[in-house]
Amino acid sequence: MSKEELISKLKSKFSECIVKVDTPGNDILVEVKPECLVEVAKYVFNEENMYYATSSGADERGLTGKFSVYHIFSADKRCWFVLKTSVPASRPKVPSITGVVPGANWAEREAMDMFGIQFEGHPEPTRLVLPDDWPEGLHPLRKDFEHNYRPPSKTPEKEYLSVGGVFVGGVEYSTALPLGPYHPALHEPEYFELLVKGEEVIDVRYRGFHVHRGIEKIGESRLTYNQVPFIAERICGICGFVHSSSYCMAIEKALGIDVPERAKYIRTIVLEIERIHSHLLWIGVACHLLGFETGFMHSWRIREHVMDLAELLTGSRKTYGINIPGGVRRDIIENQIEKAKKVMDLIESEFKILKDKLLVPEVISRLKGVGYLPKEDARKIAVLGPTMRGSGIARDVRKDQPYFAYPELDFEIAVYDDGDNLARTLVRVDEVLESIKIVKQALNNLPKGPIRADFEPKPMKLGVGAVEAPRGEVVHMVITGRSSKLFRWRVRAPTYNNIPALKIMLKGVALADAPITIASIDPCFSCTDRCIVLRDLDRGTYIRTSLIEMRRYVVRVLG
Amino acid sequence: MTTVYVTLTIIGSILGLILAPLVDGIERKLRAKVQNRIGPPITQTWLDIVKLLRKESLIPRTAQDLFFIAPPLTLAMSAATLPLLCYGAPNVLGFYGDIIVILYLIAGSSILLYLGATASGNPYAAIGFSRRFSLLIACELLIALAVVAVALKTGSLSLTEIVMKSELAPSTILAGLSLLITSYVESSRLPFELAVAKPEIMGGILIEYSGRLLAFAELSHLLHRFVLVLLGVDITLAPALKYLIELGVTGVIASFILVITSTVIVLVIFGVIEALCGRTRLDYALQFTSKLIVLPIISIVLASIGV
Repeated sequence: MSKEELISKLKSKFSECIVKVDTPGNDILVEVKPECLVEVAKYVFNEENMYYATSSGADERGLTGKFSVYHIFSADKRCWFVLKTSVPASRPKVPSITGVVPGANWAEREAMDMFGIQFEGHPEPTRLVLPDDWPEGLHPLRKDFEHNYRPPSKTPEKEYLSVGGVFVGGVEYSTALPLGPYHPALHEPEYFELLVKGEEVIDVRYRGFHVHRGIEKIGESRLTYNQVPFIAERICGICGFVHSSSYCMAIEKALGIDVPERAKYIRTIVLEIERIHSHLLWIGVACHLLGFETGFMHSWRIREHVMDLAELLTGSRKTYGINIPGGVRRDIIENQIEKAKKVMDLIESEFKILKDKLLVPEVISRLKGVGYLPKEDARKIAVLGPTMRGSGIARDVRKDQPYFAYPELDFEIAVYDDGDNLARTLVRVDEVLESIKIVKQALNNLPKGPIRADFEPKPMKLGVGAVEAPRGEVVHMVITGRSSKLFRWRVRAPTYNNIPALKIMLKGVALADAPITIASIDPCFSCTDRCIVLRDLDRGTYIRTSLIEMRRYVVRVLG
Repeated sequence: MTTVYVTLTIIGSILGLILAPLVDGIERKLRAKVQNRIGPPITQTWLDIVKLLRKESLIPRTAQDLFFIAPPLTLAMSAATLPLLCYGAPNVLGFYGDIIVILYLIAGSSILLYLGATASGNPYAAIGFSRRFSLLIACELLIALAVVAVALKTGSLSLTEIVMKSELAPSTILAGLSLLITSYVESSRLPFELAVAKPEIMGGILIEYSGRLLAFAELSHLLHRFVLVLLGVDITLAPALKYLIELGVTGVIASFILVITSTVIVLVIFGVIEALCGRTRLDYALQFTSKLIVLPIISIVLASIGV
């Protein structure tokens, strides 16, 4: 069914609900009345079989006097489908779609924290992003909230740890074991509380967002279109390029910019190099968690070639900084292509040896059958990337919503049906080899021409950009504002959708398998939190800060 | 002759104390080579211990007295086994049943350390304890069975006498080998490093130990490894040692060198094996030990029919 058929079908089916239909940047934007929201969401999720991506609030009081909620679905192989509803600012109550689309749980809670929009019928309307000591009634992403305002903080009186007892829902447990916020298995601060009985995990509680940076707020209040890619790339230290690419794609779609072919190919090459490095990093970390240090060291040794290649092509080992709306800032020259091909051959042969050494019966026995995630749950929670493909869902934005040079390149997507840690590992191993194939093809077919297109800023345009990151698809939704600024910028990293699946995956696993199961989604907490923590060396304390404050701090310290 | 025996035993005991951390340093260096790293100098383990000895020990609020009594006592018990061992020369300190005392001291020292760790009140230490204890019971059974096989064959429970009375027999060699394999499992090397398992339980039994207490715990753990392997080497090589000892002074010195170098070599081989393994799970580890039990049982059967 094509896009037009979908629109006409929706129009006839929900004629009384639909307020407006628009097609910004080839996607569908349908505005419905709040009372019909759940019904339409149910239809597109169940009948049209769309995959849930994310939701976002928006403070449109300055324009229409209303708060809006955007639910983004992927109508695979067609376009993005954005479901919008607006409610008056005096009574910001929207029906919750979590009952129909369980994956919307977190995104709705985030909108609740950030905009003060209430979701009626939400199963657990508790705080997600805001810290426990944040004052009631303050919502940071509202337009009347100053980006540099810091409310006074106080220590929350909350007891997390307890030994023995009955957990919510009547689950009996013997020990509540804290995993985090600082734990050798997690390389970033995040808090899991495992309720264990002997060696078996019974249930898990999660609290994240310890270090929220407020990047969306900075993007909306301080920066212009062209500056945002650089802060977007700093959302994550491992898969930063996917964020800047995805942001640029959203802007390009919103403003209708025609990106030159050569820029598309360069982005594709760098994206795949990033995927290879990220997967090799993950394989190393997985080996480390299984106590197999030799595998860790060798995986990272191969990764080192990839980092050198990235430096050759972009000038940086990580955080390449070459993306800008309309194209890229740095070209690839002829002799670099030859060198890059040689490195790719080297990586391929070395990785194949590593693969044979790693996938031995001892390792497989630790991974097989552990951390099971059924296909139905995977779709309901809307998990992404290797976590999704390990549960037998053959989705990949590179194929389903083709972008950049991917439609012209030949590659396979790796899918395994078992839904366990082994399946997720095998997906990543296969993806490394596919990525090597993609990079080689793109290098061979690199078209000639300019690398950047000019454009004119236009206000109030919506764009959805999505890039397949190593951990799953990254979705950026952009609404442009006046004077080259953003009105709303929503970032959704894949880990955001994947963490809720851990509750299912961790149930019943042995405690020894808990770290590798958590790692099997390749969690990237900095993406999820979009945050940073700074250590104040003078006072020895840790402070939560924004990037802009950090810059001021650095300037102050370094003079 | 007795002077030579006494001197060698004293030298052996002191050497054991020095070598145990040094061999760990060699293992670390070799592991680094396998892992494509440069690695620390071989004295690193000693440097670590010396540094830890100078550092303050933090004692958690929830800890009971046993928490800080256990590590020094554990070290004392491990060190006490050193003069009782047979370093190639007959041990004049040896007495009837000294092998049982050695085994008691080895097992007792580790159990004491685990109890001390649980006294910290940390849930990770409790999990480390429960893992380690399950494995320990399985291993102690294996060690005891191997010793029974040797005792049956030689008719003695004194280590020196076992060496002096042994002959080239399949049962003794099998018992010695099973002792060596068990010592690998017992001394919590990968894949059986379950009680510490940093990525899983953040160091488990050692989680709350720091400074001096950690140094004591580490040193006693290394001595523990050394002693167990030396015991296995003694029994496996017993006929060769007996032959050398009967040759006179040069023979005794040769047998001393043989015991020490074989122990070091076995430890280093263990260290390299460790580099090639990942961590297993407790259930797999217990399955492995239950299969391993076949070795000492065959050895007992062989010994009882006099082979």
